[in-house]
Amino acid sequence: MTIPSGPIRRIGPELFENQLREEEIELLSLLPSLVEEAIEMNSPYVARMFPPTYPFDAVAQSKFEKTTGDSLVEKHKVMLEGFTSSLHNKQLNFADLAIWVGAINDIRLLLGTTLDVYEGMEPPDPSDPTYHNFVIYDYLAWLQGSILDFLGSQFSDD
Amino acid sequence: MATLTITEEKIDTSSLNALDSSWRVVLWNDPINLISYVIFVLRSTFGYSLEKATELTMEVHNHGRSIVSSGKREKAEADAHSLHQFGLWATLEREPA
Repeated sequence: MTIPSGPIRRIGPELFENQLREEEIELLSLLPSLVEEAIEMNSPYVARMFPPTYPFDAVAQSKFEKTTGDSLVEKHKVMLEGFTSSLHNKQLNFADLAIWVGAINDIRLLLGTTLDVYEGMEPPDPSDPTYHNFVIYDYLAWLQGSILDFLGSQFSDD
Repeated sequence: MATLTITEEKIDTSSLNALDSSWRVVLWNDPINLISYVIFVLRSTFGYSLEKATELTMEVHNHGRSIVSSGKREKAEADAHSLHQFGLWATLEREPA
């Protein structure tokens, strides 16, 4: 019997081996551009990535957006591009993994918003047109959780 | 985590123009972010222990929101901005007098 290995394997105190299969890398490499395009188009599906800081004060919110809006967009783009460019790297460090979980989260925010995900939601029937996106959404949760298992070990009290 | 719902009555909007008062950074529940991810972000952003980050995250999960930091407005805004960079939903509200 073969025990399936996880997507990441620790090979040193601060070094990890990327064990993603080629078809996983192929799928994952397609997803960041969907988020970047949605950001460029100012799509409502990425609103979750740009939440209001002052939801009931339009003046304060506008001022806050003017000072932070561009850097927030840039931060998301840098994370998504960092994820894409390191997907084929055989070795990863903590900084890479932090970029991965952030980028995966952005992708999940887009997919989850598109799918209108809610707590306790059951996967749709395979005949449902959203089924495949839901499978990807679930896969990303598994991948993100697997990486987070390793990331926690960088903190001194773990 | 449960669906995010922010209701105006939960937020003190009476003195949003006060620059010198203390402000609270409120983290809100949502159905997408993993609990383990929120814990990781709180530890990375604020340097919280696993115990404190877990306690705050579970408060968000169970009660819909939690105050995760506080301070002068400039600091609170910087903290909220940091959480936004990780895709978390944070808002500001003034500390009650």
